[in-house]
Amino acid sequence: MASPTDDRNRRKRFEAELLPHLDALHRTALRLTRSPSDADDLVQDAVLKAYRFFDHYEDGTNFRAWLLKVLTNVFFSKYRRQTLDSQMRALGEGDPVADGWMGVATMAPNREPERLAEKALLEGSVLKALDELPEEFRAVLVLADVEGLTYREIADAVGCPIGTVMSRLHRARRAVATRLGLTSHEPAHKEKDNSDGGVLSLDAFRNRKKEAIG
Amino acid sequence: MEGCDETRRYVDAWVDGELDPGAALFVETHVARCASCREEADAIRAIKGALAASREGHASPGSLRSRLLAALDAEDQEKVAAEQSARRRKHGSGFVLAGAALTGLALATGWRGSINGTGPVAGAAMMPPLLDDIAQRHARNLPVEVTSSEPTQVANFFTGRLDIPVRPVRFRGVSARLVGARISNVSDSMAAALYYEVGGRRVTVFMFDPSVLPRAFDTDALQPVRVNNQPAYVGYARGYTVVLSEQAGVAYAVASDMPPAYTLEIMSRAEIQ
Repeated sequence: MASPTDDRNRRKRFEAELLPHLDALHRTALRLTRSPSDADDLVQDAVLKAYRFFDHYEDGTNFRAWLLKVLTNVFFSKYRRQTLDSQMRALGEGDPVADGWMGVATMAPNREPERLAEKALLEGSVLKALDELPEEFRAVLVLADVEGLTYREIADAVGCPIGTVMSRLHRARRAVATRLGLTSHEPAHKEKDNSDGGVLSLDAFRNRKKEAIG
Repeated sequence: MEGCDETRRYVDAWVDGELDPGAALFVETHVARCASCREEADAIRAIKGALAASREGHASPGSLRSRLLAALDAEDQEKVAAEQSARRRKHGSGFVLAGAALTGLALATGWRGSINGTGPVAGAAMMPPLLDDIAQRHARNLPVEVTSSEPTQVANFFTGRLDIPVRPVRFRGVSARLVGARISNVSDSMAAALYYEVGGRRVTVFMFDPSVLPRAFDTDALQPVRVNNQPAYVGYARGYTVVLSEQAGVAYAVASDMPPAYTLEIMSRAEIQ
């Protein structure tokens, strides 16, 4: 059994590790739940769970990624709305999202590719488009682009293969881009995606490239 | 253009720096020649940039930090209490279990304060309807922070954590069990949520600052009733019954998935420990 001094030290270490990441936890919780009071509850549950499992955290790895993983887990097990099926239908794991629903005329003012990268998008409209995504896609996009986690860390956090992360990220960004009128072209891979369930594989791509190049 | 299909599939990974050098070179070469794929890559960068920028200026609410530290304190104390109780059990002395030899003070003493004839209050428009909020928190069945059927332990858990005294409720003449409790919110006020099983059904009792109560009168359809000859209000949200009342400066909300008549019956049997 741990001595009281061990317990106090453990608590101190946890607090010291935790506090720098409160903002990250809170903003992620807010994006996932879309409700300030739910976000507070979610952060609290996630922090307590992380504290209980603190011994499982491996020193030297990314503590923020680990906290976000715990938070994402708690969110999907306790807080998600019970409409997964309809959400997945709405966006479709294997279906390019809402591609091309905007007319060319609507998009014309936005079609200056060389300026797009520099153009600071209105954060508000991006966040709004993000909030409209189904939870599975929202989670992946938030972890990637707001929190800057690697594909490996995201796969670990949401509990799916890297190929699924890539696929969801791609669809999530296409949905946001389309919503904001950022792209104009037709989807290049409509049918092919369906053939493998829309799950992308880095390895397959690398192998093909090796054959092609080498 | 040749290579568009593959580029489109992997352009995200390329922008994210997740491709190995060979694959990255392929995408890079294609994007340099293909305006359409370049547009796609630019769109991804623009989204990434805007989302990364959204990090700035977001600060978690100040109350969150103190709330988390309080929850961690509670967790520490729980652990110590559990270890002590395990030791004590080992030595054979054991706790007196809840339900035995506990006498209550009937709710029938003086309900007074803001619940009597309070009119609408301005400024509550941003909050979700109170009943809805309470019903949702009852429905969600969140993890408990103190697992104890012993009212004094549960009361101790809240000591110093909330601005109101939290005294667990006992239900007279019906099989009822305190399952656990956690710190929660009602509207924007911190609250104690105590989870019970009454007659085999889940009942949550929320205790919070009564200044929140008038909001219920703004947005919710409430029916005034009398319980033990004291005023109370019954409402219905998301299929759950919620009974609101106030006693000695503490607001009580009893939420259950049973019909109003049954919930009121339970309420009438409630005694504060």
